[in-house]
Amino acid sequence: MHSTMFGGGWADVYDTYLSPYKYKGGEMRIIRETYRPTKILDGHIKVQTLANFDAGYLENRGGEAHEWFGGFRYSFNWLYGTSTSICNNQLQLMAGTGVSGYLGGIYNTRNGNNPAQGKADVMINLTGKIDYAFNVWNKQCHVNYQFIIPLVGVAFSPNFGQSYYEAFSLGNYDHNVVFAWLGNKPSMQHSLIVSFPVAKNIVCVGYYGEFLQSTWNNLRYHQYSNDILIGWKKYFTL
Amino acid sequence: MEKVFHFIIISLFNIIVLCSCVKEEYPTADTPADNLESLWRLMDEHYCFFDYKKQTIGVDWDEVHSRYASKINPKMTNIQLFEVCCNMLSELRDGHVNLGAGFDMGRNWSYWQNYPENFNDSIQRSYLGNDFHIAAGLKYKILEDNVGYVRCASFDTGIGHGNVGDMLSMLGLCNGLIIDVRGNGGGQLTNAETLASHFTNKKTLVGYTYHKIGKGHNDFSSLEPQYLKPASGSIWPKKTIVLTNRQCFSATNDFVKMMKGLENVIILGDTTGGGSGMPFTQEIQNGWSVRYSAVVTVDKDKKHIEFGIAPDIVVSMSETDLMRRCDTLIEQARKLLQ
Repeated sequence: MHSTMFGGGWADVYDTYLSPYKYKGGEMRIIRETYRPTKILDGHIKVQTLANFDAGYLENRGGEAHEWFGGFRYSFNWLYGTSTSICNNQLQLMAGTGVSGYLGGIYNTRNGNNPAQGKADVMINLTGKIDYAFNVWNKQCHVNYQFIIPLVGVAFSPNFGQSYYEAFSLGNYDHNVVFAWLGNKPSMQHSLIVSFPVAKNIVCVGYYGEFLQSTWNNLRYHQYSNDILIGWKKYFTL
Repeated sequence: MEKVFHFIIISLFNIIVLCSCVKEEYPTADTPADNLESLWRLMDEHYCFFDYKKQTIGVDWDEVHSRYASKINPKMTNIQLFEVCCNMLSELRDGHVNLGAGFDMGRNWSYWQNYPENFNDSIQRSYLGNDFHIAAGLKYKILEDNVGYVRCASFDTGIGHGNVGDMLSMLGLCNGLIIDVRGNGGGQLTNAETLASHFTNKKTLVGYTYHKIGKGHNDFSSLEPQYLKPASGSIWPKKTIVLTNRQCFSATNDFVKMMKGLENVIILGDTTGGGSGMPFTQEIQNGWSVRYSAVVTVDKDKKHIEFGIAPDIVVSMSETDLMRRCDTLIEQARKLLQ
């Protein structure tokens, strides 16, 4: 199964390397998902890949300063699933683990020697997914919910008052690769997607929420995104 | 199995909820008292020279807080608040500390305003005349006594090794070189380093840098040595005199730091303006931007250069020379290069 979804919503970004106050604004997002069964464990293991791009434009509460932000996350998940029947409809419960890599950044249009904050991480994640298939007017529809929680990994961060000039021009690195775990990076992603056939296509509509947070090197960060997505899904069979 | 699964999920969500909510820590109410509090705290946690300013000019930042907090009243206007905030920041006597509002930029330029200028723009231009050359913002000319004169008014314009190499080739037959950085208020550190790298033929220790790693006044990283590496192109082998005044600030201060102590280089003029803290920018809740020194640079002897670098030869502009439309510093440098 492949699905592609586009959408937009609201973002709230707070990064104390750039400002002690949060910036808010709009964002757009594209998520491309592939999902396929495997023969492992009698077909109970499924492989999911997620390519997730977002970008947005924010302003501070007074509207005097602005930030651009954006990033790309690629996730590769293995899900173990079991299914059961409820009212003649199929309910699939899946749980698994995965790895993801992120590259992105925030650019503040007003700041001088600290104009931007680079974001990069490689994380091992926990994920769970529920898929409920049901019929409406003899057409099969799906509702699925998925969460992804980063558990442990490594991330890039400048130190509290370190300039990028020191790190990248002078080569003076200072705890710029940090150990990330649930305690200093309590983050999660949620999606709730309804898919239903329209003519020969399967349309997907849903909500995507991303709550990224970190506290390390005496810097605090959050990015809360709430998006509405719309797209399509295709099934491929061999 | 299902219970275990539910337990794990609920536990993880609980951990996230408990650990979560990375919220703003600063006051968010847009009142005069809260804005002053945020400004004071922002500086308290991020400014890098508190200890040095306490030793040199007696700044006690806690005492400053109580003194200025008492000047705040809830009905004061934005302009009145701005004045109080700027006065508070001026206690630090740092040209890199600014408060930016839509209607004004708060600053302390005492590093040059309280001193003789030792520079006259129109007299300096008379030395260049009309037939000078320009390479990446560097104006240069060969003076009548075969001394090369380079005017570097800013480090904002990009300077490439090719530009400097070409310029030095053009001046190659000169007896010596004058680099005039008076009135140069700074710019890009990389430009200053590019220019300086053409005046040494060996990797030279020129200073150290360090930065804040926490909110305490003395939470600093270790000192990292800063080396000046020779440029791959032309290296100037003859005597060079750098002309300085109190307006040599920030990246220009750093340029003088790199040049001072190099073989064949003499710093002549007045003490530089300083400004050895690389500035960062943040803001307070009413939207005013706050610029402050965040990264410290010291010289190769680990001494602060925040309040300037003394020249090797002190020369001031004389009144008599001014009357004769003659630049005392340039003339003194020319004599030394003969």
